[in-house]
Amino acid sequence: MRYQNTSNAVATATTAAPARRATVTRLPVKRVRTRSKARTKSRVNTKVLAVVGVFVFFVGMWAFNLGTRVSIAEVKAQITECDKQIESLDSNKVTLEMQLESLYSFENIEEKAKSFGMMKSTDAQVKYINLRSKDKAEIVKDDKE
Amino acid sequence: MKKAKSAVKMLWSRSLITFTIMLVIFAYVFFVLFQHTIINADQLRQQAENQQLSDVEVQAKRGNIYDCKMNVLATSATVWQTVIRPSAVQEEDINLIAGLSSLIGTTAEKLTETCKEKISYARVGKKLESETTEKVREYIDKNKLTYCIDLEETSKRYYPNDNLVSTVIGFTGTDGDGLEGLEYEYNDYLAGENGRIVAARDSTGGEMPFAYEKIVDAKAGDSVVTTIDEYIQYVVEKYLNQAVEQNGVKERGCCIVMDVNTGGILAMASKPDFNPNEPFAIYDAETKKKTDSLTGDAKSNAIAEARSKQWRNKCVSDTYEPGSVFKIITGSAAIEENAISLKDSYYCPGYITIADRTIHCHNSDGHGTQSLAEAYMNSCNPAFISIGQKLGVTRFTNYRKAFGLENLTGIDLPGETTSIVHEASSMGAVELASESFGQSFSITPIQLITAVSAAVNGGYLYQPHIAKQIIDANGNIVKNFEAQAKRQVISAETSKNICEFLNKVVSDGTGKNAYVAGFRVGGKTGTSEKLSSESGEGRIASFGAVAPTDAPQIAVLMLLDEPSVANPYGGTLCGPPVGKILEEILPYLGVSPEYTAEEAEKLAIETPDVSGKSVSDAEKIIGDKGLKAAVIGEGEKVVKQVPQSGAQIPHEGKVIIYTDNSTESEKVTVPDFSGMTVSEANELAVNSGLNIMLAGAMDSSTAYNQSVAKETEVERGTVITVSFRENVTVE
Repeated sequence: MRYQNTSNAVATATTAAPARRATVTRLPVKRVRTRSKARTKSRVNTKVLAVVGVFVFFVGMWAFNLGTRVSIAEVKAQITECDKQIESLDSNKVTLEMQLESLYSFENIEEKAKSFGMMKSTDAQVKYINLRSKDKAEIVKDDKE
Repeated sequence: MKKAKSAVKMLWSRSLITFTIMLVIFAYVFFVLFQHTIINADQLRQQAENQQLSDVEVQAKRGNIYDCKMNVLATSATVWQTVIRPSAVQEEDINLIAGLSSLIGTTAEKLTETCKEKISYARVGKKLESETTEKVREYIDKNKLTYCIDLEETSKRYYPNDNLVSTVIGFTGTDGDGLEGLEYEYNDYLAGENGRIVAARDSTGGEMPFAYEKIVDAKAGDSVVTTIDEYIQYVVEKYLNQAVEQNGVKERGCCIVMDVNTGGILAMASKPDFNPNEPFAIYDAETKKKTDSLTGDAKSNAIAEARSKQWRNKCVSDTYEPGSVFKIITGSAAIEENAISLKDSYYCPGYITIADRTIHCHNSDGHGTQSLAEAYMNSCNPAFISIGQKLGVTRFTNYRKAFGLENLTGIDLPGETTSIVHEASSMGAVELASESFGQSFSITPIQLITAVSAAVNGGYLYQPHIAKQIIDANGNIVKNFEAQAKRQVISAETSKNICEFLNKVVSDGTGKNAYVAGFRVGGKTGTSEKLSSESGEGRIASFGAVAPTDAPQIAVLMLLDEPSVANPYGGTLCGPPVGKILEEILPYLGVSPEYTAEEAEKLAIETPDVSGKSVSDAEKIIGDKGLKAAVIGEGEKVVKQVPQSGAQIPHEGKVIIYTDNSTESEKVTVPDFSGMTVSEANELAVNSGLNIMLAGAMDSSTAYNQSVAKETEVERGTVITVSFRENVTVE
């Protein structure tokens, strides 16, 4: 842009405003690079997706954790149930064993034997032998086999 | 411009105020947070834990008690206890709850009463086994009573043999801890360590599965293996029971069998006893009748006394005057100290005078001159008084202490009491005299049998014990109880002499009733005056035996406190049952009999089988066995015989053989043999058409028991076993 001679300008100022030039030389405008709307939109979508993705991942992990714990709890409950059954069966076993012991008490056996007409062997019925060598047993095989 | 400035200024001031307010609020919040998380952190954490965490104790399985052959004497099992929350019970459900009464072992009235009480928790009914528990659960679920009734897991102690060895084993209380006997003595081993489950619970009490849970496993109790042999214990209790019943024993009966070479107790029985499955019931009928008739405090006191009497192990907790069995100790001490020699003789005129006192012998006519062996056989009081005088107070009391009679034996049972004896410093000639033959002092049965064992086993005083081993739940040995010899009291030679004397007492002396054919049995009778007797005439009959005397293995001591019979003498009342006990347990322990020729001749003969044989053949077979044949009928072959083949009859007994079916078996009536001598009983049996088997002491003895009751109809030729005993009127 060119300016007028200042002397003219001063002279003109005291009297009247100088006339504007018809042509205006514009200053060069800085070129600002702007993204297109599409590109902006795409970036936003990616971010959202990323966030959603991370969120889904963590939710998924939590759900998996929860599911695993539920399974563990179920198995634990089954184990507890089995333990209770074992306890009950053990208790039954002991009770039955004790009843059996009572049935096989010496008193019962002696009474039953007497009722069948049995009696204790006398000294004359018991023969004592002295073994010179150790006890041994021989299994006789049947010839037919 | 001014407007803009004032706006900015206003903005700043408002911001400042807002900021200040927020700062104050945050400061307050921060302060509260600080207070809760730092200052009160521990307290609040504790409160949260108390509220959220539940701590449940898991009961440890109590260890078992075994006999020496690993037979179970006591064991535990899980059972369930019904619990009610009365405060939660609704009125309309009370009748439904009462319907449970028969299942859980209580009455409908008691259950209804409990439901109406203003309490939050009550246990009702008996402990239930798993079968009944299932039925109760079904009833509760069906009637929707889960809100107020629950089943609590607990444990119950089982004793499969009921009364057998009850005063030794003891029993447990409702909390599972031992209260008497071995259950009490070894409670620390048996109880184990309870576990815990610490878990987080929500406000309704339900478990929070993903929250905190910590489990500490329970450690099962260790088991006790005892020296008791179940079979020997059974034999001892059988004959002790018979002796107590037959002789009307008023106070107590005791019997101990000890291994003389280890101090291990093979059997220990005391009557009256109890069933540890129901320890609080009163078992003596007469005592129960008396307590039922009382009321209030008198009833409570009587019940407590009755329970104490039946629970108490009278072999260790009660003393008695040992009587003549103590002469074993007096003689041992005198021989060991050379105060007497084996060849010395003693004159008994029927009494002896010591200081200003005259002490009579049980034989008022006197035994005359007798050797030491004869003094033992006759159980002569003057002889042993003079032996005691020769020993002197100092040596007598030293040996009394050395034999362990002044201190507790230390047996592993609770409630052991010590002896009551004259101190050496206060013992004069009269006290020495009376103690020499077992009077005027009292000791426990366990002290006496331990001392007798020492006198016969070579002189070693062993520590008596019941426990043999402690094992854990996997069967690993935790602790072993080895035989422990405390000291040697007398020499092996003295011990051997004592065994010989005791053998003579049984073979030829006052202990004949304990004689067992084929076995060398030694013993000493005892009949003591009971100084604490209310009537002043109470006696304690006792018998101490050892077998076999050539190599002693076991000692047996039996005593009957205040038998209500005319002749309450140890040899008469205790000799026969001790003999029967030895007859059964010596072969069981592997001691084989060695019969003399005389004994072999008297052995019973097995009746041969002659059914189907010709009469002549049958007579020959029967004759070859040393028996006699009586033929009934006209047939040529034997169709029936009495006794049956295999029956044991005495030498020269009669076998009745029937030769035709038309002849009915003759029936005869069994006569009453009681009070008869051997020859009288033999003659009566023959005249009655019966065979007689003789048992017990034969010489100078009378029948006191028969296997078939009098006036019973039996077939001709049936064998009747008649037991004889000598009436030993010796103290």
